[in-house]
Amino acid sequence: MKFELQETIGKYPIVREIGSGATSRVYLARDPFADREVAIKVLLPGKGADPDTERMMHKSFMTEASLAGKLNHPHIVDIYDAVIETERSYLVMEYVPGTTLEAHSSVSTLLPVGKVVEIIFKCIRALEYAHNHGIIHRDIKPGNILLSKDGETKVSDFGAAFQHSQGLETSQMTGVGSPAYMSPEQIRMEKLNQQTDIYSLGVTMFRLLTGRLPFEASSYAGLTHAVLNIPPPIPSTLRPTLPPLLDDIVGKATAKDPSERYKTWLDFGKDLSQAFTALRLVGDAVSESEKFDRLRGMPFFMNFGDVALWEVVRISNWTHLPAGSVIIREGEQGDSFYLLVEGEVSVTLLTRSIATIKPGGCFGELLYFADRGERRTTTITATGPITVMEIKTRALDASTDGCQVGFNKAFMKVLIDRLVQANRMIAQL
Amino acid sequence: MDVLEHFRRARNMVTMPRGAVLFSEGERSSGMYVVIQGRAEISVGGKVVETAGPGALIGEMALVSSAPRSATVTAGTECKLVLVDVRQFDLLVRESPEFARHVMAVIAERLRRTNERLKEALRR
Repeated sequence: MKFELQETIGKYPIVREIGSGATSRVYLARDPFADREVAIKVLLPGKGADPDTERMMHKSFMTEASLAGKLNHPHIVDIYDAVIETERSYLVMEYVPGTTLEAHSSVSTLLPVGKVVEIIFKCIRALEYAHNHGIIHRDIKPGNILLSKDGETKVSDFGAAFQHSQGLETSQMTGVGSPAYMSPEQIRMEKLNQQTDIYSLGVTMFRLLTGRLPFEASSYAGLTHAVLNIPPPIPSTLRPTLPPLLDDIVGKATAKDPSERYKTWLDFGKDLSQAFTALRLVGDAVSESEKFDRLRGMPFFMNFGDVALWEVVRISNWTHLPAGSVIIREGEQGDSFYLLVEGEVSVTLLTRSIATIKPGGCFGELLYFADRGERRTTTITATGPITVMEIKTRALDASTDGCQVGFNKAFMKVLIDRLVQANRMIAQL
Repeated sequence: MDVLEHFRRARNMVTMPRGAVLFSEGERSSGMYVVIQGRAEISVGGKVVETAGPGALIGEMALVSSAPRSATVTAGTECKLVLVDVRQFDLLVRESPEFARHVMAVIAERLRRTNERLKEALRR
């Protein structure tokens, strides 16, 4: 079944076809009510496929449909709606203009190493989130990870996903996954856990760093034999400029024996973010994933979920400043507040130092609650080199409720701590 | 946000006769009060520093900090007050960003005034 222009799928007018596969076709359409572009994946009825394959296709489609509205993460493609009818079945999804990582999987089209690390880090966050919702993806590969035009990463195609809540043995589903990216336990059709996705993401990382697969063979049997028995090459043997640190991480993610592999997404993510810090010595700017990781560790952001925290990363502006820089001056007007990431700043009132702020502390937030036109009440000076994050109050006003609620709770604590401190100082004078 | 309107019909309203003490400086107690009617006097070290009328919040610091009360609150006239405990407060903050902003504006204003007092004290 193919839809012509001017046609609609349900309430959605079709704009154009954007892709098709053996089992489905994807259209770009408009959601007239939400006034946004959406991607609609329509299940194609099997043509001459054997009943087993067709049942599989249908099951996979149903699995993806059942996730509609369940996974809400900045690095997972949103499923807005699912319609299962005898006539036709389709999924309405977030439209992400861009390409899949397939476009950056060959030797001549590789992305910069820093970008690859950032993408993998975001995938780790997304898959950790899915795992926390009881979901294993089971088909992680470059073709199922989208890279939007503005550089955002989104994991898609949860059609092969397995939900713990359904209480099914995963090994009952055969034919799922792309052999080159399948974990040894998945090939052996054993019971699976999050480590199978960790393996597949490790192979994906291998591919994105080197443009090659760890194992290539002309037959399915040859490939599975290699995945099960042959040690994978070390990435830097294929691309000598790769830092050894990344060799270790890829090696640990793709270990054949699950007991030697990363056991949790947290471990995988931790190593990767450390690698990022190390790689930064080469002079890279602070990446988004590193920013995220820095903020995740701060008590100030304790009440923030992943979604809200990524938003903070997006709306903030990070700068490095030398010692002696004045960030805020008493009596001046301002329209932003700050959070100290690295270094120390001193708070002065009438040139008398009244406090020191350490990493994780914020300043300048008083104006966020004040009527327009209020002035800064203290001066903030860097006592050594610092990294500081600035957020415009207007950007926070325009952020989502989740983000604002997080800041409100954190600010409340900060304000009260300051009040307690000021009262104590007055009492001592 | 009209705090007064929000709490006017609350069930846990307390009435205090003139001169009664709501809580004292240094005391460890929790909960915030919203003044619905009357006038409450906030004093530090025996000196009245602020008068709170209908709609004002009192004792909001105890909701977030475990520090003892920083001031004494006395009913300047007969007062009607609503007690908001930590649980209710958390719920309100989560469900109404407007309420959270209001509470913070109150605290920010108090902090600004405290900083002014600190400045005065430093000048001396």
